Amino acid sequence: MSAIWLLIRQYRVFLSFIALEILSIWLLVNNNRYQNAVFFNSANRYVGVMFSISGSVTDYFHLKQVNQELAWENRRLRQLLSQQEQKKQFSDIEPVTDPLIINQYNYTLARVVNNSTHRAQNYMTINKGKRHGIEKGMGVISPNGIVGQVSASSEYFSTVISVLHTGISISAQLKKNNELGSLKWDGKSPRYAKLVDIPDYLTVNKGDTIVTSGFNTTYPPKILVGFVEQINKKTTVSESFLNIDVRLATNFNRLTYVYVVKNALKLAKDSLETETYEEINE
Amino acid sequence: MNNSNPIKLIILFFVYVFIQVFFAKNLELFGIAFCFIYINYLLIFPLEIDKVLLLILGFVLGFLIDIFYDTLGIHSAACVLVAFIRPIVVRLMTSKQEILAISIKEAGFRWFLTYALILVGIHHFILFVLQRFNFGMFPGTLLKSVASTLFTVLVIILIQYSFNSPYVSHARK
Repeated sequence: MSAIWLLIRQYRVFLSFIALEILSIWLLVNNNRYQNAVFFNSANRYVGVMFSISGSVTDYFHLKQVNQELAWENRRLRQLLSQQEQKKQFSDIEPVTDPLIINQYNYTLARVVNNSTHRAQNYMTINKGKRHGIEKGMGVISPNGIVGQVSASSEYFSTVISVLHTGISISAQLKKNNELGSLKWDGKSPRYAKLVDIPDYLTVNKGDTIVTSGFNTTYPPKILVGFVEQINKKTTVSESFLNIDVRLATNFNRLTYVYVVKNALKLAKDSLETETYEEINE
Repeated sequence: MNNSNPIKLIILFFVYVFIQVFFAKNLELFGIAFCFIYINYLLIFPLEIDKVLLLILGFVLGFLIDIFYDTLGIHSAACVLVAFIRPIVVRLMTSKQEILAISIKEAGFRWFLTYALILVGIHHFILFVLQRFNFGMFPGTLLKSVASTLFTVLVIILIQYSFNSPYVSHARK
């Protein structure tokens, strides 16, 4: 028995090194295995509060840019509003009156208190949580374009899976012909992503606008995603899809204010779809 | 060296975590060089510390940083490794030259630079490899580790010259 103790004493440094490394790796693996079950620390109240304090200082440095963005968005919204008014005035179609349809999308303003862009899986923390009606799965957009999707929320904070996450794909379409594809991030630059599944017989030009499709319930339809930057050459002849580089509309390095989108009809649509799938599979 | 005042060391611990989380976290050069200055705390910790204690300290330091970076395990793993190899590097490097404390003042610029480059390099490399875990982008990872190592070591050297290492007894000379 004493021989064992002697051995442990002799190798205590190495043994504690191994033990602590195993603990670290265990923490690492356990927190990355389930993307959905992830409950990150900054959604945790204390860390969130500390980031809020630091954010309230750094906010001042972004004021000019935030103002510009807001002014730009105001202009766009005004234009949309007047278009809507004009349409109502001149159309013979019965206007939609169902308040549930009109108010299908509900926006909550939130501030980004913690953000990362240089990892393979990027997350951010926002300062709104369950208390403000934020739930897992809601879409997050910025004045410039899409941002991500809520992955977990605590009472006062939520974590958001950024579009800059290699495990996420977003249903997107070309604005000009409504052709569907899916947007994926390749983990390289926070300014660019890839649009895949666009068939190669279509003509796609540099600068074409890409928007969300609205086929999934996370984002409202026609939210700006980005612009076609370059169409890559095919690697094999048999490939029948285009590989498009997309310049993202959102600047993830400078995110300050975002909107969380609540889709009032999400449950209705999702449950109907699941029902249909189940029927087909039976 | 008997100037390793424990209270000073504890305060310094939190100072490094604070600086890392609220300042250095926002530092980024050309999208490839990041600053992980907190590792300096492990680098210049007094020589006399027990090896096991240094390991535990490394783990706690890494764990705290991980909490703020939302990357549980990554910084702790890298810090524990640095804490483990620090005594080995010191032993190998002191075979030629005896030193009293780890600072430019005590050990000389070249000694300190080599020491910092080795340990910071290993720490950053492990950090970026673990971040990219299931990701086959080796050249990018290597570039980031080299660029970040140079950045962090530069800041560490600047700190050395600015504060002349808080562990060096000024009265001794």
